[in-house]
Amino acid sequence: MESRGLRGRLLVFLLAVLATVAPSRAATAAAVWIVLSQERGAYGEVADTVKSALAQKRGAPALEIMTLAEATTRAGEDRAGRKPDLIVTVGAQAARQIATLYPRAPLLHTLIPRLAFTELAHGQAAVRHRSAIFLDQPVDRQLDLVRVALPRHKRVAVVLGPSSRQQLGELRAAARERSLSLSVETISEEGELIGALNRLLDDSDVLLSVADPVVFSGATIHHLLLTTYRYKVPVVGLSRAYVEAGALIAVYSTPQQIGRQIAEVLGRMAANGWALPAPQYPKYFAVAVNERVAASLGIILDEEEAILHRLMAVGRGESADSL
Amino acid sequence: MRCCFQLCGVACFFRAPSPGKIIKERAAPTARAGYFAACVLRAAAVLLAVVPALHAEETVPVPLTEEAFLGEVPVVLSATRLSQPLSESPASITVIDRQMIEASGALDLPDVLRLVPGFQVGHTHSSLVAVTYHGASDAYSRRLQVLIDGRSVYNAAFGGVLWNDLPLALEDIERIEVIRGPNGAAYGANAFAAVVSIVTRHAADDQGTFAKLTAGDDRTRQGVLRYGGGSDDVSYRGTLSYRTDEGFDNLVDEKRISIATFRTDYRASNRDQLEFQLGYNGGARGDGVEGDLFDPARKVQASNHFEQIRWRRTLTADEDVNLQFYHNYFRTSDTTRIPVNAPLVTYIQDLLSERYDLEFQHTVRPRRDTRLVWGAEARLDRTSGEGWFGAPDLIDSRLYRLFANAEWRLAPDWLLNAGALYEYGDTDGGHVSPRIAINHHLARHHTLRASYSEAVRAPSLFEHRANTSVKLDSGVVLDRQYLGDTALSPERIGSYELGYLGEFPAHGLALDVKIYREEIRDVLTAAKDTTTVPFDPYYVFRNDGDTDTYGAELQVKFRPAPRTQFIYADAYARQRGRMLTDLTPPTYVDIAPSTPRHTRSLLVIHRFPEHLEASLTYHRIGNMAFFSGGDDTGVYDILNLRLAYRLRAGGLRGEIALVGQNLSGDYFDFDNKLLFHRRYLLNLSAELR
Repeated sequence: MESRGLRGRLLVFLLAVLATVAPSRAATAAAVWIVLSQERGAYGEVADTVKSALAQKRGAPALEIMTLAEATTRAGEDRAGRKPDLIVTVGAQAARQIATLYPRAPLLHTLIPRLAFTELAHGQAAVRHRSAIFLDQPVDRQLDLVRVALPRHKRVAVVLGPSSRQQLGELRAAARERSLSLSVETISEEGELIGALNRLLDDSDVLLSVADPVVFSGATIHHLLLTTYRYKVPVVGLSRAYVEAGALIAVYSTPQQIGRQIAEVLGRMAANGWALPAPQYPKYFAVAVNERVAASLGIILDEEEAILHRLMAVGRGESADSL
Repeated sequence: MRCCFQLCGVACFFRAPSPGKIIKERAAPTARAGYFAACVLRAAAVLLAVVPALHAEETVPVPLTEEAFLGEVPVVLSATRLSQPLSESPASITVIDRQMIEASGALDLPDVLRLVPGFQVGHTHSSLVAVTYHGASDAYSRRLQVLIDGRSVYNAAFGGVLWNDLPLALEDIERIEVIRGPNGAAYGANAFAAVVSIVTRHAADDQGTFAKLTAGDDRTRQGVLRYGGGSDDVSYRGTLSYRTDEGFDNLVDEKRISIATFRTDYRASNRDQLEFQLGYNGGARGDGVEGDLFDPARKVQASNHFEQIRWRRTLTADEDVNLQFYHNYFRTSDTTRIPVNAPLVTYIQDLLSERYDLEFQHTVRPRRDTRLVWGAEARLDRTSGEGWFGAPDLIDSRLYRLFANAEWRLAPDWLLNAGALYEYGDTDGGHVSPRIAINHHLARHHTLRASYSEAVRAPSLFEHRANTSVKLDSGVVLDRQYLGDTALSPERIGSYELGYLGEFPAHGLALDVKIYREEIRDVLTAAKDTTTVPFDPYYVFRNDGDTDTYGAELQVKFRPAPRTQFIYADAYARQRGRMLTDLTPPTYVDIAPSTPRHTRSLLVIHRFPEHLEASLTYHRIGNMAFFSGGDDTGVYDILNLRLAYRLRAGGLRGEIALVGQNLSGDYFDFDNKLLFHRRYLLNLSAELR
């Protein structure tokens, strides 16, 4: 009776030890936090996609999804506690705050414009521990879109603002490579936008949007779209919302597509001893077209799917002209 | 579709203070010019003080976030903002854009309209210009509807449009869309032969200061000053224009035209737009005949203005609601006492004509393949003119309209347009104007269109109620000239059209061809009544006449290189028909000679590298004679050239342009005594943004 009782207690003890040790071993292997700028909307969609993509994977890291507020509280409570192996930030606000709260943690910033990331990286010493999956599309892809969808539109206009003016060199090179002519106006405040457009649009076939809050914002988009429409110049927008508002076409990545890419990056990192990859542009993307605007401007466009496939083919290195 | 022409390019509307100082007319031209110059200088001084201040502050860059990519963006180019592609429109349309207006070097709107296939212009006076489609017009072109930003400026008293009286500066026009053919289904009565829809520029497009001076032959002088400002949500623009010229050589028709316009566009929310406009046109216009006892040389004083407010709510990309209200006010002061010192006869030709109009319009896409525009309109026209209508009373006429136009995409390459407008007027009763059109895309860039459209031209108040006479101040009637008839009914038009639109993008070529047949019935005509003892014969109005016109029109836009454009229009028309001119015995006039067989125009614009732009306008109009005194014009040509030198330094743009008009020699377009001569104009303009 006694020995049985002792054995029974021993078993319970061993089970209890196992119960506490086993998960902590898994966590030692990989603990990944996903910190969301906000709980809902695109941020939540990114997290959900990552979670469900990794759910079926063997050897997947343990994900902990939290809002920025939770992460902030935890940093305050538990400064000496166990640090995650990687923090994935979702959104620029989470990127900025987590970079300050966890200056030495390896960080993967996502759902962040490239310019916001470079700004952040410049302000921080430990750039090695930071990488990103940008939200914006590479200039090459945007210009490929122009070439693929609007082959007759050779004169590209761009308005740059204080944040985006550093992209000028890159734009010029990319345009040159594609035999597109590029006209650029640089403005320093919203009030200069219409004047800049009036100077540009007379001799342009298409306006390419480059993210900059001075150029593209809720406040400027109205005049911008009306002015370009009056000049009968189509706009390549930044997102599907821009296309719905009146831009002709856009290449963009959805939160799900970003989430899918995060999951893939995490999978590779788990296999590579958690070495951060280089900052990268979205791998998956979509194309949106505004048929009404196309019809009104007298532009004949292919279906979204067809444009997307040709754009992906160009991205793989196939020549746009042979398509 | 109605939406596409009435509302496209422009937004919206907000009540704002009155447009500052309106230039007052004074008797002596020099004094007036001096006053105007003083106004301009004062305004310029204010502007120069204000402009740098607006650009002074530098803002701190806003950080870039994912909001740029993920944020909501309000729908800007909603269904009513987007003009329909020409290949999907139910009618043939000519678009004259800003560049064409500038390149034409024209000072007056009618001259610009000569570029539209099938349009003719006739001057009986420098202040009375007839613009007509397919000829068959007298000095008042009553068969043309003219809209400015959706506001009808068709004159209710006499019909037609007084082009020199419009509170509109040519510099404010963004583009002109001319719907060639009846369009009663969208615009109701008087959208008869064609509709000229003028769209002015959005206030945000004219930010900064613009000044333009023109001087040239016939003592032509013009000054235009414009200033636009605003912030993100509100933009405004004010334009002042003053113009004088001597008119024709042997006519008392010198004119002074002062124009002030103001427009503000206000974005009340992401969904709501308000647009408010007002404008003034006034000045003294010479009239009468030197030495004529009953029609002495004198100055007729015009004073016209309008106010317009429009609200647009965008519900989705495919649905919005528009509400518009406007008020037009036209007033002419022209009272003559004969003889001047001891009047026996007071000849009152004063006229007041006002219009109040409220319109609601809803655009919706009830199904994926269907678009619908429907709406309602109520109008009050109020007129008084003792000399014209026999009594000083105000005459009110009310009009109500209900309209719907739908577009069905039957298949990707078949589009059916159908619409109708019902209107009820307290003078003319009820009428329905229908239209049906089908467009078939044969292939990419190639479209065929077949359409049938009806419209009516309502009798003007003058045709209904004229009672003009020469009366002694004692009340004794010496002579009667016109007597209206309230029993008149509207004249009716039905038009069959076949059109082809082709684009050849590889060659920079766009073609628009149409063949048509138009039938006009119950023609409204002024006929001489000789049974009017004891008076001399005078004119009465009748519905008696009909015409059939058939013809073909071609419109070509050719852009062989980005810097070179050819815009060509060619119209061929054959007209058959007659209308009553004498009551006893009934005598008819043949309508055929009133329409030219051929009307052609060509505009060539070439921009040289760097600074120079050259343009050429050429018109060739076949034999025609306007009704009521028009001489046979023979075949005549008009050749205009414009050479512009442009400079740009930072935000400052300058231009010097030399315009040569009528370079191919003298011609007349109505009356063989009123000749246009070769003349030159010099333009200087500067714009600071």
